[in-house]
Amino acid sequence: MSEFTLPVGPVHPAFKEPIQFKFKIEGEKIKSVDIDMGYNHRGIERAGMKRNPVQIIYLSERICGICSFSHPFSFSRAVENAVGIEVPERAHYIRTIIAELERLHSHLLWAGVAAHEIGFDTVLYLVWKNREKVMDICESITGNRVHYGVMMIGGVRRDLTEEHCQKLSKAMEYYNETLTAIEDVFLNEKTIKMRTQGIGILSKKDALALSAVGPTVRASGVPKDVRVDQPYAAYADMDVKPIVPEKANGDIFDRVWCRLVEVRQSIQIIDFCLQNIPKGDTLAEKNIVKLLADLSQAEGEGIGRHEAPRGECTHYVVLNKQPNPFTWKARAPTYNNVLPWVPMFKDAEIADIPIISASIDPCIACADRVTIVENNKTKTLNKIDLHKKSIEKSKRLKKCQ
Amino acid sequence: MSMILAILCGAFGIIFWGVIFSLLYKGLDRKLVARMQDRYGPPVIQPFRDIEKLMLKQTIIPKNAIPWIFNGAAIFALASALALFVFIPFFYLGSLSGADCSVNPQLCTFSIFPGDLILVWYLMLMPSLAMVIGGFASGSPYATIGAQREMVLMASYEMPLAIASVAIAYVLKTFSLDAIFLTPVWGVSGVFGLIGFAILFLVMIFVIAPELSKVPYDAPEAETELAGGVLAEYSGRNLGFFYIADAVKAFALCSLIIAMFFPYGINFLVESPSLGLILDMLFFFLKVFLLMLFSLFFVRAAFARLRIEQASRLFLVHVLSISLLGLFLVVLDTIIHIDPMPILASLGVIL
Repeated sequence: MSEFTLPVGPVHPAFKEPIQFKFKIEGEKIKSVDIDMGYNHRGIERAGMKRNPVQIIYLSERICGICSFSHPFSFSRAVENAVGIEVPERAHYIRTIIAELERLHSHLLWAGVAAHEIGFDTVLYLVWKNREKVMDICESITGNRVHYGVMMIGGVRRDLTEEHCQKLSKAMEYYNETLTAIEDVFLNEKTIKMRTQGIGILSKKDALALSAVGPTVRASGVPKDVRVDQPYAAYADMDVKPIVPEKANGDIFDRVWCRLVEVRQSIQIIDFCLQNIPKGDTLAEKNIVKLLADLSQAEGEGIGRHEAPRGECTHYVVLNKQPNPFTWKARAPTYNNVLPWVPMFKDAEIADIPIISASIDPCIACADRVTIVENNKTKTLNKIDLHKKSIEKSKRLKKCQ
Repeated sequence: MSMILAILCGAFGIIFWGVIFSLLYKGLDRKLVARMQDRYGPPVIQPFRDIEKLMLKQTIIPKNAIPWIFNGAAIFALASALALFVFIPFFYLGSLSGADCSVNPQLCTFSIFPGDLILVWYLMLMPSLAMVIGGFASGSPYATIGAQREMVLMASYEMPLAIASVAIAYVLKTFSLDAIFLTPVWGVSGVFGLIGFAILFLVMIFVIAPELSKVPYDAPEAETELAGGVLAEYSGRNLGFFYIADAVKAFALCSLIIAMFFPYGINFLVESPSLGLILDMLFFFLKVFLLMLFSLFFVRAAFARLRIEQASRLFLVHVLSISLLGLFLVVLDTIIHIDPMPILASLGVIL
């Protein structure tokens, strides 16, 4: 049978966001894959460098609708790290609770999408119906379902009331019960097993070599989790363990398992936070004018890491005694998980394309911030070009400091 | 002359009502599956609106396609699906027409032309074949892969289907649909035959979903993988034709399986023959609904899509061996005939 190219994307029902794969196909088998990104470039970082840090929080929420707490969380941590702001204890706990709520709804969203990709729409509706509860909780705590707008440099903008805590613990009870049904479907259903076991395998070696992050790397048997490796916020007070399957095959089924167990873990973390949340302030500097004045006098660089639902999300900020930050760099988890796609797709079948591409829980909007357009022509950079660019940028950064 | 006119009118009438009922069943399918999935779903008449819309929309022929094959395939699929209706015996007319069924079986059944099992299976195959041809002719890689998968699927499920048909023909010594309709196989076989036909009936129920390329055997059309597969490039009127052909095929296939395995009516409940026919009709629609419910609706809501090689293996290995077992039992029955009546009587069943 002859080899031919099957273009999948940039617009394709399997993807919710634009990305293009060019598969070399022989019969139903995939011989090789070329991944082409850059359809969703919006220049957010550049826009951010023309705004002050408090405005960037608003902007960083818009990087992605699902990680709309992870990005501002990482960014705030980067700024706090650069300036040396101490976040109050209570704010740490509220941040942790919202971050875990986000993980809960993100993983449930993913489970529904994964079920849809393998043609199991009934599970999609079951899971998404379940997800509504956590969205409602987010709305009642923060005021919004998606873009919470609750993060602030040095703390959070809204406090948790007693009523919120009661609602939260009720919701967690609800999830403890209803998750059993979802777990039962995903882990025991025969057709789901047929479509996920032994497919899209990412070996431990490849996962480490390509520096995958999040559930993708943990399913391959690497216990990598920022919440454990570098505890921050309220995670330091509790005993969080990275979720790694006992006998990791690195296939899609393991990734499903990892995410489902992480949902349970999130519930435990939220329960712990609700029981141990201390009283006190929620914001280090309540006066926003004073905060901005302080920030425009600050100098230095900071890194903020946060374990987003999809993996480690890193923000890098350089402050330069200016109202606006000199550099802002966001690295979303999907950026790391793009290359691991290549070994996963190797020798897979066409039928597995949607579920393999969905298995890393890709967020193209998060990752797509690296295209070079010159004279209306898109330029693809090779390794040497990129190395040169990186040296140039480092020099530029050194010069300014 | 009036005879020809009557046959023509009958044929068009039955096709018209057949299409209406097929689309209604499709609407029921969508509504019920939606309820199973905790959605509201579209109203039952949604398929009629879909057809209305598709017929009005522009029909686009892709640049790489071969136009006459591309358009012809859609018409071919619809025509062969509609032709099914004139051959399938739907109801028993014996009491109304008063004809002697052993002499003139044609007057005893509600079919326009004396049908033949082999002919009907060929007609049943035609829409799928037209989809394959149209898919290849459309020149899109998605449609090409979809067409390849459709062929693999066809090759997998046809064998169990053929075995079930052969088993019936072997026992009744005829392929005529009217004869099969008037002589249900259950009445003429012994204990082994009953078990064998029960197995074959289950196999037929199992084969309905792949025959219609429905979840979990919808690999040829897989929306998330192939963006509609064989139908990826079809639009407007052509897509409407395939849409009707699909609905018609589902209804006709279920009617055919009922005619082959469960043609019983309930007209003995009333004295009047015309009232009996109406009761028979209602009972028939109930039977079609139940068959669809168990073979299509529940299955569609309860499983994930299988990969093509998984579906193919399922049918070529498991379903085929089960249907061979059924055929073996049916043949064994013609050699060692054990009358089921004494056994049933001893079990306390009174017939």
